[in-house]
Amino acid sequence: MSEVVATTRTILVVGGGISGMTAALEAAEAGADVLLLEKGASLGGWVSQLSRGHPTLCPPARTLEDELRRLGAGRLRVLTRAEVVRIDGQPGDYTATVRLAPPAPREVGNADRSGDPDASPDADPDAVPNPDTGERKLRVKAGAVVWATGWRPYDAAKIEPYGYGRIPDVVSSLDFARLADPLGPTGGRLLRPSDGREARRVAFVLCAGSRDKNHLRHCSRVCCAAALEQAAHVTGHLGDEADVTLYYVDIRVTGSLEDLYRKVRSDPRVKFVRSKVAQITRDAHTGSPVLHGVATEGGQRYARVHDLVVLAVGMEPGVPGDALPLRLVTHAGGFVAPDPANGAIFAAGCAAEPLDVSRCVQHATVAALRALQVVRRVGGVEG
Amino acid sequence: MVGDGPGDRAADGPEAGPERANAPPTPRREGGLSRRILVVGGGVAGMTAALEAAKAGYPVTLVEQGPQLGGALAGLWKRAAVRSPFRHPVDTGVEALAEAVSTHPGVRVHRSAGVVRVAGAPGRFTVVLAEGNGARVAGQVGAIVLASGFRPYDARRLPELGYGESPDVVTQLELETLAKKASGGPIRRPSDDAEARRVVFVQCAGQRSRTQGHLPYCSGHCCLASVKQAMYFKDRDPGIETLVLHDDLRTPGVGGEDFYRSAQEKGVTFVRARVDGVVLSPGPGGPVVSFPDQVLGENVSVEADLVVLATGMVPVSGTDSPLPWLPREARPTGIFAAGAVRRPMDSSEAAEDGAGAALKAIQAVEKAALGRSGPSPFRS
Ligand SMILES: Cc1cc2nc3c(=O)[nH]c(=O)nc-3n(C[C@H](O)[C@H](O)[C@H](O)COP(=O)(O)OP(=O)(O)OC[C@H]3O[C@@H](n4cnc5c(N)ncnc54)[C@H](O)[C@@H]3O)c2cc1C
Ligand SMILES: Cc1cc2nc3c(=O)[nH]c(=O)nc-3n(C[C@H](O)[C@H](O)[C@H](O)COP(=O)(O)OP(=O)(O)OC[C@H]3O[C@@H](n4cnc5c(N)ncnc54)[C@H](O)[C@@H]3O)c2cc1C
Ligand code: SF4
Ligand code: SF4
Repeated sequence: MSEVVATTRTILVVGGGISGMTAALEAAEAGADVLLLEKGASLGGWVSQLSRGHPTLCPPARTLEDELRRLGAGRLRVLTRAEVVRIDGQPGDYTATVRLAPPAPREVGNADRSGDPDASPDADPDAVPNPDTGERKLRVKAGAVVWATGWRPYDAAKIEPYGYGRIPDVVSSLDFARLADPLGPTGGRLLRPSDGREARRVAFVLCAGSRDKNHLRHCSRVCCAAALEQAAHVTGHLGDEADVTLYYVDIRVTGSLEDLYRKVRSDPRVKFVRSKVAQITRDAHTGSPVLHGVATEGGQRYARVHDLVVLAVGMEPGVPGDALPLRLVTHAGGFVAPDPANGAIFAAGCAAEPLDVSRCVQHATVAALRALQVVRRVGGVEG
Repeated sequence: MVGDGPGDRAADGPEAGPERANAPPTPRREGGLSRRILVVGGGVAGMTAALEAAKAGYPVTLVEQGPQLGGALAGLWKRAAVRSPFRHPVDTGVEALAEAVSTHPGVRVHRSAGVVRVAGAPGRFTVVLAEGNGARVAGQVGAIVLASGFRPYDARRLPELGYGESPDVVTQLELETLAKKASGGPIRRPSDDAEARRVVFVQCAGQRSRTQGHLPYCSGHCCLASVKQAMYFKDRDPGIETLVLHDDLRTPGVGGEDFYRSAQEKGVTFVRARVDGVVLSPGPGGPVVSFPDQVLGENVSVEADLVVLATGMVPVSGTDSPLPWLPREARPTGIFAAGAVRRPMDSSEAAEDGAGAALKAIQAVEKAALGRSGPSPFRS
């Protein structure tokens, strides 16, 4: 094996979340040379942060990482703290520009120096660290690219009437995941931010920012299931004390997740109110958040006080359409579309569409296959 | 050597071609391994698996029990939009896909055929196919993709929704047949061939229900299908009344919401209600659908020319139980399930799943060549 970081027969995978890890592993297992670049310090993406709060959909991140380690000695190499900022070229011959954050990138599971950019003849000759930031740049070649840069939560503060950022006890589903995490800041106790009291009356506001022309047009697919699971967590945690309300428009869980919905729905401690919440205010006396709206069923106006309000925020692309490192065809909203015009750049997972973990795995496998087809052609390998 | 399948001569793999079953299906040489991938089922999942594996350079044999490729997708008039701006139904693309599969030099297609025997392990499965003409062919393959799809839920179990009572109560799949027949012209109701001008869609028919004989799960695709089918009528004539009765309307993902919005803009009416029943009207009119209107809080009855039931998908996995779905990799190893046989899914996802299974099959072949075997530890 040569010492180069990458050649036109290499598959470059950008992003080390569940989708990128899957694509990298699947392509390597089929015999391709793979380079996986992750801008953060570790692999796993959101799944490694959400896994403890969401047991039903228990993500296989840990096992994947072990597997990556095992394969590390072979065809798959991983660089962390390596952000792809630019891609040039065409199918079969791409060059990616990578920003390496200090300290020097760590290679997972491969002790030899073949993955060290300094050892590579492909490294940009003037890869001198920037004296101010310590950053270095690296250029790598690849025949095909799997674009697996994932998602980011919609900024809840942009939903003006919901008071996120103004009302301390209005939190996002991701904030809640931290609160509920036994290894998190509160040791898993649902202490509300304003006064540290344990929250008992907990509201979940679904479609916060999603399915809304003023925010995200699309339905983010995972937030209903995630909210149901978080609601089940509250009842499990607080027992008879729990007083949970879900404000929703449609509960969108498909397949066997219906069982989770049925279970939560039949729990007397959980109320379901079909309504798009109009506004959240802060009670003048208690400081607690108050939800306002009109119930779809019956049409009554309500103003209900809760201890803690969780906004089930939607997903937007991790790298927005206008910040992509090259021009790609995207759907409205910036998710990368499957389009022949995108050449041999194949989006995987939430970079392409809001997906749950199992769909990400499925989707990333396909991206790996498409990339494999390209580098096989480049290499002249026939069947 | 017997070359029965249409694509046969073009694409002999490294292993022996199909042999007569009565001849022992011996591998060409001791320890000879096959890189050929057998795909069972010629729906969108199976066709995609076959094409993608062939594109990656692997010889493929595709077996379809019916006379044509296409599976359920071939029975649809259109499919829901798959790209921005997600506004109108689009062609299914099934013919182009079937054509690409049939003409690819790496794919042998056996129509009206079935698999009667499978034995062996990755890299060295021996399989026997039964052709429509009664002939049996045997050969060796390296890995297998099982894409046998779904069957529609048997709507005769829903007499309370008028199915079987009135010819004008149809399933979504039957509506696709009517729409195909109409081919862009007026869609006619079965009873008297009159144009259907008042159409009611009943969501979750026999689904998401714990009633004995119903499906406990949500098939996931049928809300989008009703949205699409309502557009069949509205796109032809905005004056046709279309009413979708649903509890939760489930159109998740990147384009579903825009498609739903588009239907609302086209004048499709959506009402939240779980339908109580569908009865025949005492007079000459069509079936009458009754439901409690959740918004108004009162019982409502509407008469329709055509009632469409959103019944679900049952996987064709060889067992009668709809749950649990097939995992990706079956026992023994080297057999990979793909498409609606794994769980209900729409055609985009079935295609995606088929392509994924092709990759898993390729890996199994490659691993067998390296002397490794066994599934990846993290696969579900
Ligand atoms: C509130 C909430 C709860 C959820 N709960 C569940 C659940 O219970 N079950 C479930 O199945 N799913 C759940 N999900 C969805 C789940 O988080 C996603 O399916 C999954 O994280 C997607 O993985 P990914 O690899 O596509 O993206 P990500 O996890 O976002 O990973 C992308 C990676 O790419 C890296 N990256 C980005 N840009 C670059 C670049 N330019 N160069 C290099 N690296 C880059 C990022 O640092 C990141 O590590 C939930 C989502 C939300 C919003
Ligand atoms: C009414 C309706 C409307 C729909 N609308 C849409 C839509 O708008 N958009 C969309 O994307 N999807 C839609 N779908 C879903 C779509 O039809 C399915 O996702 C898709 O057909 C699944 O493909 P498949 O290949 O997995 O299975 P199938 O289409 O079921 O194909 C399986 C194939 O395998 C064959 N087979 C089975 N057993 C064997 C065997 N033992 N040996 C050999 N061959 C075998 C069958 O004959 C069949 O050809 C709709 C479905 C329905 C019912
Ligand atoms: S998954 Fe549920 S909460 Fe999320 S956007 Fe869709 S309907 Fe709203
Ligand atoms: S997709 Fe819609 S109609 Fe089909 S079972 Fe689910 S909720 Fe009911």
